[in-house]
Amino acid sequence: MLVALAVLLGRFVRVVTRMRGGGSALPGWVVLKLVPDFVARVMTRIQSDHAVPVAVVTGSNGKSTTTSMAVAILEAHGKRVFSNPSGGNLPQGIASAMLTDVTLGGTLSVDAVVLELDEAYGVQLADAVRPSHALLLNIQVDQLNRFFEPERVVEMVRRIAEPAHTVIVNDSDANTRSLGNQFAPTHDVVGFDVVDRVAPDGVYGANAGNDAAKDARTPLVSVTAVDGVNTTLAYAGEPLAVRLPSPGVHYAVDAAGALALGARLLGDEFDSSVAASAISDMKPVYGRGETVEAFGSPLTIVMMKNHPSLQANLDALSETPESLYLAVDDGTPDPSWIYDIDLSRLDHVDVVSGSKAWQWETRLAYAEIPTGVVEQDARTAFEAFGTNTSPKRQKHRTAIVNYEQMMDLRRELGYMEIEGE
Amino acid sequence: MTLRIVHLYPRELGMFGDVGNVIALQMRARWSGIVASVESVGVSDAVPENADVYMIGSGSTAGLRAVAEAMPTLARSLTRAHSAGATVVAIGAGLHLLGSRVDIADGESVDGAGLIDATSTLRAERLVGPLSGSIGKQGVTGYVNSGHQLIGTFNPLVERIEGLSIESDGVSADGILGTHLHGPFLPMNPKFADDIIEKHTGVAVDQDDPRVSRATGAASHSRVALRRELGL
Ligand SMILES: [Zn+2]
Repeated sequence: MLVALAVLLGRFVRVVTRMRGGGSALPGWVVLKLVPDFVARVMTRIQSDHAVPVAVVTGSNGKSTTTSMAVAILEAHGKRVFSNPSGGNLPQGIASAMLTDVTLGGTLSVDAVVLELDEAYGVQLADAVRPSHALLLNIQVDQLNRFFEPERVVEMVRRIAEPAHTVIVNDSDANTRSLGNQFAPTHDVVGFDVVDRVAPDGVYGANAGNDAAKDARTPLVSVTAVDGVNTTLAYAGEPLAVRLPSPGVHYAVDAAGALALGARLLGDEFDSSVAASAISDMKPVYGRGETVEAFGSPLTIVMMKNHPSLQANLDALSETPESLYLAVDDGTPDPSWIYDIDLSRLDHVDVVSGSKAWQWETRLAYAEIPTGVVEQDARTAFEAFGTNTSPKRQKHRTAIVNYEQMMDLRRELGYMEIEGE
Repeated sequence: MTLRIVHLYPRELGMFGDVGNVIALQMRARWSGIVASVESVGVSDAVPENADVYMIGSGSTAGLRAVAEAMPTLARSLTRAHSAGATVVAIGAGLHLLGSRVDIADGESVDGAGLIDATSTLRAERLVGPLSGSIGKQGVTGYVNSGHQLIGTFNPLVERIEGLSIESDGVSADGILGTHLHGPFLPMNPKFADDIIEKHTGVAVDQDDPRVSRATGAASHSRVALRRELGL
C-alpha cells in the first residue's frame, strides 16, 4: 500500500518537474522519503520472483558509457533490461528510474538489471541491490575533496563487489587487478585489459600502493588496437571489430568491460558479433564526445570529470582543436590537478569560462598556450565563442567542460533531456 | 645564470598537482633569461646536494609508505643542501616528511627527514577546502586537503586564514616554505616564486615580460575569484 502510494506520488512529482522544464532525481527522493527501502524492496521482489541477474558497474571513470554499452548488448540479445540513466548513480537516481517501469505493487518485469553505482553511495546501495555481478572499471585520482585518498576508493569498490558471485575487473588498472586477485579464491573473477602498445602511458591508475604484479588470469577481452573510434578487441582470442561511440583508448577499454560483462550475463546465449554491432550502433552518452548544434555548426562536447578523464580525452584528439571553448566551474572544487595535465595537444584556447576560468588561465599561461577571451560568466563567454570563432579547417567547434558546465550547455542549446533523472 | 631545481619523488608524491610549483619556478626563471633545469629524483636514487631548490609534494598513505625507505638518504642529503643555502618547498605529505615522524592511518608511522622540529599526527576530521590567508603582508590563496596536523616548535607560513577552521598553516623557516596549498601555491602566488628565483640567481624576475605579466595577472584574478568563492 505504502509502495503504491510512493510510486503514484513519485510519478506525480515527475510530471510536475517535467512540466517545469526540468527533470531530476527529485521524484526518487520523494519516494525514498516515504519508503526508505524502496530500492531494496523492488530488487528483492525481482530476485525472488525469478533469478534475474543484477550487475553493478563502478569505478572512477567510464561508468555511464560502460553501463550503456552493457545494456545495448543485452537488449540486442532480446533481453528486457532495467538500468539507471547515465549519471543517475545515487540512490535517488535509481529510485527515480524505477518509477517508470515498476508496478504499483513494486514489481519490475525484466530479464536483467544493470546499474552504474557511485563509488561512495554504492557501498550502501550494494546491500539493497544485492548484485550478482560486479564490473570494476578503474581506480583513478578523482574527486579527492570527497574521497580524500584513492586507497579509500579501492576499499569502497571492494565492498560493492563483495556480495557478487562474479567480479569482472580491468586488469590494465593496478588497483582493480589487485582487487581481482583478492577475489580470485572466493569469486568467479573475469579480466579484461588493453595491450601495452595501445596504452603505452598506462591507463592513469591512481597510486594506492597496489604494485603492478601480474597475475595468471587470461583476459576474456583485450583491446588490441584503437584508431579514433575504430577499435579491435580480442574476445576469447578471436578479433572483433567495434566502432566506439567516441574516440579514445578509454572508450575501447569500456567496451571490453561491457563485452566481458555481457558474455558472463548471457552465458551460452552470448553472440560476440551481436554484441559488437550493438556497441557500434550506439550514440555517444551525454557530453562524452557527443555532437550538438550551436551557432549553425556542429559542436563536439568533451566532458572532463578529473585529471585522468581529461588526459584520456586529450590523448584521443585526432587533431588540435581549431575552435575551442573551455569552461570549468565550482563542480570541480579543487582544480589543483590541472598542473598534472599534459596540454601539448592544444595550441590555443578561444574562450575560457566558468568560475574557475582564471585558475585555468593561470595554468595556460604557464603552459604558454594563448587564450582569446577569459570570461567567468558562462552565458556571456559562450556567446563570445560563437562570435569569435568560425569553423574552417575543422567543420566543428569543440567544448571541453566539466559535468555541471556540460549540463548547462546542453540545456542552453535546447537539449532538454536531463541526465541523472 | 642558472637555477637548478630538484623534484623529489614525483611518482609517489604529487597527488594534488604539486608539480605546478616546479613549473612556476622553471617558467618564471626562463622568462627572465635564466637557464632553469629540473631533475626528478626517485625513491632509490641519490639526492643531489648542490641544487638551488628542492620541491617535495603531497601524497596519500600509499605515497608515504612508498617513500619511507628513502628517508635516511633524504635526511642526509637534504640537510647538507639546506645548510648550504638551498630552498625547500614542501607541500602536504612532503611537508610532514620534513619533520621527525609522520603517523599513518593504521598506527604505523614513517620517520621523516628531520629538518624541522615537528611530528605529524592524524586529524580527527580531515581539512578540505579553499582558503585565503597571508604570508607576511602578502595575501595568498589555495586549496587544502589534509588528514594530518603538524605539532612542534616552528613558525607557520600562512596566517590570518579565512575559509577553513584553522588559523595558520605550514612552516616558515630559513630556506623552508612548507604548506598545504598544493600545486597552485607558487603559480597562484607568484611573488614567492620570484623571491626564490632572485635569491638563488641574483636576477629579478622580469615583471615587464609579457609572459610573466600574463601569468601574474591571471594569478591575481584567480586569488580574487577564490576569495569570492569564499564569500570574502
Ligand atoms: Zn597534511
